[in-house]
Amino acid sequence: MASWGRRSSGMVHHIKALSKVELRGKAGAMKGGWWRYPLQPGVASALVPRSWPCVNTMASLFLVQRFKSSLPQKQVEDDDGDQDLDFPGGKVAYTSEMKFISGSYDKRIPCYRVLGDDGELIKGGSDFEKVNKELAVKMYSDMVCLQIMDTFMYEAQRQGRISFYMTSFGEEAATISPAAALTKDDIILPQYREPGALLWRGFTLQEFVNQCFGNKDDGGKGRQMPVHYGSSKHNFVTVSSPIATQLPQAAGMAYSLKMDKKDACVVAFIGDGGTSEGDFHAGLNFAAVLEAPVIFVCRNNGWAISTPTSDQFRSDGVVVKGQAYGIPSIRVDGTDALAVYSAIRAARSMAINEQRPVLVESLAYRVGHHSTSDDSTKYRSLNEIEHWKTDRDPVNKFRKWVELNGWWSERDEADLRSSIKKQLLKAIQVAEGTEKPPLTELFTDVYDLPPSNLVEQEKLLRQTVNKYSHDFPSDVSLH
Amino acid sequence: MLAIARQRMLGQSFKKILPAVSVLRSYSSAAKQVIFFTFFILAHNLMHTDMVGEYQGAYKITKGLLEKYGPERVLDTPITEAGFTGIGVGAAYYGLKPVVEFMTFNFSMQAIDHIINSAAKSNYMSAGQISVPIVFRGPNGAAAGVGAQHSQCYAVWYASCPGLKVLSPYNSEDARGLLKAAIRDPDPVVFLENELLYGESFPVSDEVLDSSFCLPIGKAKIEREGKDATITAFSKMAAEMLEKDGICAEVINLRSIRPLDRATINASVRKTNRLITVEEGFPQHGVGAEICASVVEESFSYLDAPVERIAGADVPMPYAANLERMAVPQVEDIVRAAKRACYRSVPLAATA
Repeated sequence: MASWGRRSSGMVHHIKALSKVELRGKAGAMKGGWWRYPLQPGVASALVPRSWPCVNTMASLFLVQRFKSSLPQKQVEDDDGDQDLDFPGGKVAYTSEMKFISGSYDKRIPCYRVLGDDGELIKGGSDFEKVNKELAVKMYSDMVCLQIMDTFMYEAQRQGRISFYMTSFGEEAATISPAAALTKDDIILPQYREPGALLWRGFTLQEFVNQCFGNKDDGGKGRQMPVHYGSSKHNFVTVSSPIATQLPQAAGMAYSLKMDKKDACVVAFIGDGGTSEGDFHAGLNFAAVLEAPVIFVCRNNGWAISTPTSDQFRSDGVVVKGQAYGIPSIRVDGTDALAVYSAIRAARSMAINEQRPVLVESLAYRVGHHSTSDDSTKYRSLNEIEHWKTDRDPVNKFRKWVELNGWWSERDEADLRSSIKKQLLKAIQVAEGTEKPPLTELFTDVYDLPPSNLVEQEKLLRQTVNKYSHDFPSDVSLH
Repeated sequence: MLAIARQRMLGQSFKKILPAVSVLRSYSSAAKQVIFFTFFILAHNLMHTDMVGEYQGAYKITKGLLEKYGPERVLDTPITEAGFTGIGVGAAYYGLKPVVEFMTFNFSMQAIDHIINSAAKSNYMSAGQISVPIVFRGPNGAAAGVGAQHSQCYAVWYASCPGLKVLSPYNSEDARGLLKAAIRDPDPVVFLENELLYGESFPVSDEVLDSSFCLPIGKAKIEREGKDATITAFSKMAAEMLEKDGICAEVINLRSIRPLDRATINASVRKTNRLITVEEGFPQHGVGAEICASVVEESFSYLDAPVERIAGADVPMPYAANLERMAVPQVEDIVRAAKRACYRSVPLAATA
């Protein structure tokens, strides 16, 4: 069994491709990169007074950055100041050669993985975090549960029982593994395709289904569309819906955590499409400037509804965008549960110990349609979908690995699936039969305390409903 | 390292301010004194000492706070309204009490999604799980010679949204009391100041100078009692009203645009039987329109004359000084409207 070995060099190896980029002058020497995994993960970082903008920050992209939130490193090299440009932001060496940094490189940033498609550990690869039986079985079970829940709820929408649904097919590992790698104190800000993370944290099938049906047992009081889950109890911030709004919010929450010096970070999810939003720029830039402990996880699933990534950006995916903000980044195989787990564990450690943001681009194809309002066969080939659905399924891949370890059997599989199906059918039945939220909930929570106009309006509405009860649906409780 | 007070510790950290040497306090210093007690401020260009126009804008308010409280609590941010409003909201989700400053509310347009969808609606959409105790403040409305993109009044944009509270102080007393109330309030509050008033001084009582002075949100103030007509105004417009005489008008300083103090307004109209609403902003769907509708709904039979609405011209604000003056209500316009309402002059329709 591979062990958690060689921390620094392993990870850096994948990122060394960037060292191929043209370096400028003496100051450009890249000393192993600024993504070096801290050798002492337990060291807490002191809060730094915010430095003036001109000190320490990069004038050139490729200088060594500090690893910890300590005082900025002085630039040691050149004594002959006239060879350097002393400019707000830091010294930068001059050059007489006019050379543009290329917009892209022949070799793209490689994608970190641990398991092959056959579910076996990659030969020679040992740079990952060990997962024990208990953890692996929970991860796998939750992935299966998510898949089955999605299947049933999608069908429920097709049958007209709920109005809307979004599946996570193909991205089960991409959302459950990160949750497994975090602690319950870490705050998650989802986009809208991360119920896997909430499932991991203990949200029950009944709670999921209640939210989709918008009944009176819904923790969200029937305020939101289906799949717009939220639970402060589980540190899962309610889905906001507009794309990327959660990114600057995440930077703000992380800054607050930092002020509290908590051993926790914020994890904000975003899709490939969301990286085009203005809030993506604001959120990442801010997090970097504020030195906030936030992990930005970009679920690059290849499609933003019907827009392929080739129409979304012209960069080498999302991973290279981090560098523009001074944020360490990694590209990981989102269908590989172990790779995602390891990467997020490392990212979390970096974020908290070094008090800085980290960007993780997770590649996992969106097998399902964007939502129940979408038919993706209209803009992509059936073959493509089929290929990712069968040959590259993250759940199958992980199962093979778990089975190879002797931790899972056919019997376990059958039992798990039948159990989940039974629970789900029951949950749907119960949710469907439960009343909708009472009238009071129309007026509560607009403000902290109900304002006088709403109190009055509720009173008038009740009077009207009582007087003309035949005009109102019978399943709206007045209580 | 400064202690970061939680929402509950709010009361304990308010200290007594300077003893009242002079009874005059400027609008801006009143606001500043309140912000000394806030916990987290976000604005860009905090060190900037001059800005567009001659009036030094919002910076006078936060001057000195950075030195006193340090860069951790008073943040000079990159220029992205969407960004710093977003992070302010995020910090509020977690439990801090941010005060987000816009150089002018015109720039809040770039952040309005976060104000409306991330702040105003969050408590409701999360079923009470996410409370957002944030204050958005800054100059609003016309300044002088700053053109259309720096002169719009956003009172009604924000006042139409449930989940937000919208306040607009007129004098130093208002600035102090309302800002404190805004920061203490657990709901998101939009605090619309007025750039031209920053430099003005107003007499204040000892009560106002007391450190615990706070005004209730949702209550208008009757600046001057009268019997012939009711004039409602807010922010800078109230200043104009007090200078007017001839008709014994009752002047109501709204203070709170949302929630609107309909009770006070209606009680006053029932006494005077005539209403003139005054605002600087554009006329359509303005504050005056809402007040008029409210009075028509609740006090129709008390009205002896149609409601007169005075508002800014229905054009983007021009720059040229003469045109600008024509685009904003002047005292004379209000006097004429009051006379029409009191039938001392010919009604508008008759002149057509």
